[in-house]
Amino acid sequence: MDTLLNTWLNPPSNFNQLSLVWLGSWSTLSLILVALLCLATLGLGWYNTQKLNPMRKSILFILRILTLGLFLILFMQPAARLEEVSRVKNHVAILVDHSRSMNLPHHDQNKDISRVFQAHQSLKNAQTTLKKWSKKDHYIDYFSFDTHLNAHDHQLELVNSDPSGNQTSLINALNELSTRIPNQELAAVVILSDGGEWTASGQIDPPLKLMSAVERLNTPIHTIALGPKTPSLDLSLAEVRADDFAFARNAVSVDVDIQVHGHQDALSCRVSLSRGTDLLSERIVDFAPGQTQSSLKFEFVPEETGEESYTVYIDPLADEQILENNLTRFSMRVIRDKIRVLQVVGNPSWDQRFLRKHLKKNPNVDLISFFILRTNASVQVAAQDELSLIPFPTQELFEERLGSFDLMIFQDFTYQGYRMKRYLPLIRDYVKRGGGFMMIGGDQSFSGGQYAGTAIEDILPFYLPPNGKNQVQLGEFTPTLSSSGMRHPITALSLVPEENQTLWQELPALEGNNKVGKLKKNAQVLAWRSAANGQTKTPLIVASPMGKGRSLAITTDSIWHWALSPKAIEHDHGSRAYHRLWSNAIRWLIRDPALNPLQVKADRDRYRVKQNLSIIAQSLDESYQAIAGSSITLRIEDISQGIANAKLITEHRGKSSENGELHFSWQAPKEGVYRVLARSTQQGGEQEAEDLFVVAEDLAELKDPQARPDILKAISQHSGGEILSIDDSWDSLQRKAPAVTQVNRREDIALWATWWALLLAVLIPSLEWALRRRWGLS
Amino acid sequence: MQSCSLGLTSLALAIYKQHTAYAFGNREKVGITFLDWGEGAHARPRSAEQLMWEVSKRTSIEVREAPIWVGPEDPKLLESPLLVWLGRGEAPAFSEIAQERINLYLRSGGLLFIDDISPPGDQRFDRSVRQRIKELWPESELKVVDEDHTIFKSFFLINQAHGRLLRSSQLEHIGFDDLSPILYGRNDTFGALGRSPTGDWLLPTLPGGSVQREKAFRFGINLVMYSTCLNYKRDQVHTLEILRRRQFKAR
Repeated sequence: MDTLLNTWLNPPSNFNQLSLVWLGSWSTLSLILVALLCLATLGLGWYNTQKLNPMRKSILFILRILTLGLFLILFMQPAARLEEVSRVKNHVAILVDHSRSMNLPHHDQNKDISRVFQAHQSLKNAQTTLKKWSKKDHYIDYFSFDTHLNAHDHQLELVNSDPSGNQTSLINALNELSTRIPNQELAAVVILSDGGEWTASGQIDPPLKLMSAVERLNTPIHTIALGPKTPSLDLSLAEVRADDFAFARNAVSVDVDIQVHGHQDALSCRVSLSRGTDLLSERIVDFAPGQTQSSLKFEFVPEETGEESYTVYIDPLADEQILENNLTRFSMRVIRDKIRVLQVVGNPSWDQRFLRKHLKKNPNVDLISFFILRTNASVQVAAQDELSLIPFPTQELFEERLGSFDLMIFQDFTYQGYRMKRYLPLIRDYVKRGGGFMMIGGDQSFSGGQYAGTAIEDILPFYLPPNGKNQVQLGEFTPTLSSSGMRHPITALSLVPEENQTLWQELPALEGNNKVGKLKKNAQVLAWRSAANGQTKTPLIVASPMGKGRSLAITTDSIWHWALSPKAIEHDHGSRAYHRLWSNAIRWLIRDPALNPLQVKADRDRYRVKQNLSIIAQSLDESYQAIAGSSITLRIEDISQGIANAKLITEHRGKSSENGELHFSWQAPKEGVYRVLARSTQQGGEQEAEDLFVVAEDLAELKDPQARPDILKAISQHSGGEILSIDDSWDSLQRKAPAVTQVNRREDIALWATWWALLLAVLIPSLEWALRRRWGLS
Repeated sequence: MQSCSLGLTSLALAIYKQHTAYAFGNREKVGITFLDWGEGAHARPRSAEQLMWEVSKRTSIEVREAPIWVGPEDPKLLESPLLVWLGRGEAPAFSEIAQERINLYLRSGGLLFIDDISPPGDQRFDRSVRQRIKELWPESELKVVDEDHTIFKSFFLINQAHGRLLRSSQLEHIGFDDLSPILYGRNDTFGALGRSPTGDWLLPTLPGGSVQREKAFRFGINLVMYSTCLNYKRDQVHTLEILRRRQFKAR
């Protein structure tokens, strides 16, 4: 029909499509009514010609049909539609893998040609074909992908960008492609990759999800596999598992999974674990022929608390190509498992009873108590085996095990009588190296314990008056907080200073205290026994840093009244105040990091290279209130080669804000272990704090860098695409033709509005009418 | 050997230099507070003094020899970590205030030792005090203290609660918070301790003998030591040595 119309109408050459259309826009009901009317008319015509001979009858019936046909044509209004149409191009998407593994060699033999270079080369080779496609039926869209799809305006932009993605996700790439280009507009997809579906935890086999993504595109996906056809020799740390923190003096384990590829024969490798630059342990791992995985466990016991960097390293093999996956760094914060407290008591007393009960109830305290239950002056009327007494193991406690304690408490205890004098300098050194020391009052404490002039006096926050039993003040009193004590963490029974002061005023009275001498430099009196009855005020609670350690002196043995007294028990705050005070004191003495007046913290423990990191330092005064305008220096050092070989990378100086904080943003330029060291000078004393963080690339892909052509093959087969080698021509690649056309111009020629149509409409009914009259019909 | 130990006490005093107590006040010294309740509260004169004197001579504890008495409603009850209730006859019921105060005291770390000082055959106190204990500590029942309890090894290694009588070899207790806030003995321990100013024992021991009295002192000293050192002797450092000595004695 179209051809007939074309011949008949001979439309202008700028129309390239002609079709018959009906312009009459009648409803279905109208059409049905007209059809019924025509049938009725036809039937009536046939009935009226019953008496005529068959010849005349047929002629009249044909004329009636023609009349009705003409009527229907006029009713339906047929037209010839002339159109100028053009096709809309669909898309060929080219996806090039830009994950880090694409930087690895394409061939085993030639390490200079990377997989990505080969991919780009393949694109250049296909240039002619791509031009041909883009000229006619397809747009060419360029994408790179790693974990996500990245669009490029043209091929040059794609080729000039470096593969730096840390993971590969074909699933994401295909899913994101379907959101960028509607499926019906996709002619084909070409993927150039070394294959693999990577997550942070490693490579996974092609999952159902990948095949679902392929099906969703409903387009041929052609793949070009890059990378060596056979695995190259490579050892890699597939996984290193270690906790973020460990407990001091408790065994820590580091689990290491090692993978090897590309080996035919048995091989051995050396794996080492180092802390900073100190080698902690090394192991030889043997692989049998064909064995690809092995695991080992390092165990060590960290002795000191703090954060350190650790490195697991596999010595590379002679022919090994990829060395990045032979090393993993991590940091570990070593914390106390329990606070190990040595409580040495000169004689059982109520004060000691309640302190021991407090310490024993604290689940974080590992308490070693030694009470002197009997002295040389005690009467011995029972055999040794009838007593539960054990010798006082002075050498073990104060020499052999001294370093294992976090805190030493001397409570109404004198060293005399136990041949302990030679241990006193060791105790002093232990404190100055970082230990905590507390002396609690009593007639055998301070000068009453003959400590004046000994090494113990060196670690007390004040000088001692001459030794003697009379260095005491008797009588009841209510302690008074000093200005420092109002905010100091030890005496903070409440975080609100005013409320804290009220609490102290309401505490049960204490009784008696030791006399002490002049305060030492850096000593802080937190609470006083107020002057009364002609006596001068005397320090009651005095704290002082002592080298790297801390020292606290409490000059009374009556604090137990805060645990058991009508006021303590019947007023809610009483007994709580007792426990709060001791908990605070212990935390301060063991240098709980949360109580350091200068704090510094990076917002994460691990970063990637050039990732933004944020460091916040906060400066507090001796009363633990924020210091505004404090000068803080932040030094960021690379300590990958150990703290002794720390390299200054950058330094930032600034003043703290109203809330005592100094913020600093930075990007680490390269991999390594970094330490941020904050320093501030506060009221004459220099404070220091540090935090560690690791900067490392995500090596998930490089843990198993072997190419996975099998995954690409599965994609092609599932989508009906082809599997190409890099040298194959793209000319014959299957593509879907553009399905969408576009009408640029349209013109309708009404076929019924012609003179001959009108003439026929008059002539045929007239002829029928004339013949009916002639043949004797009405 | 044990029979002459008390005699040795006096001798030893002359040999050893006396330990001088310089505690900061009487409140800080370890002493006994009697619960002034019922007919037995004052029935064992000079027993606490004698016990604390022995404690001061045999141990390093600085003591307050003279006891004090507090009523069950007296707030001062809450100042005494070691409270002793000497009872005989009917144990009178506590008032609501007293009951509440004693309960608070026990839960705050106080120790109540109840000593049944009834004459032999008199069960009235035993019957009634059990009801009083139930009222003071409704959620638990008295249980027999096992021989591994710290009170039997806090200073002397003993195996039962001793006293003037040998009515029961068992000591009973209420356990709470890994301690025994209530201890109940039926052997009139404090009856064995009292001594007149002239040096005579105020009451005889039954069935008798200085060994029984010495054992009563040892139990009393262990009680004082337990009230100050709590479960100290259960610490690991002591356990092996104590086990070794107990095995030695068993042979």
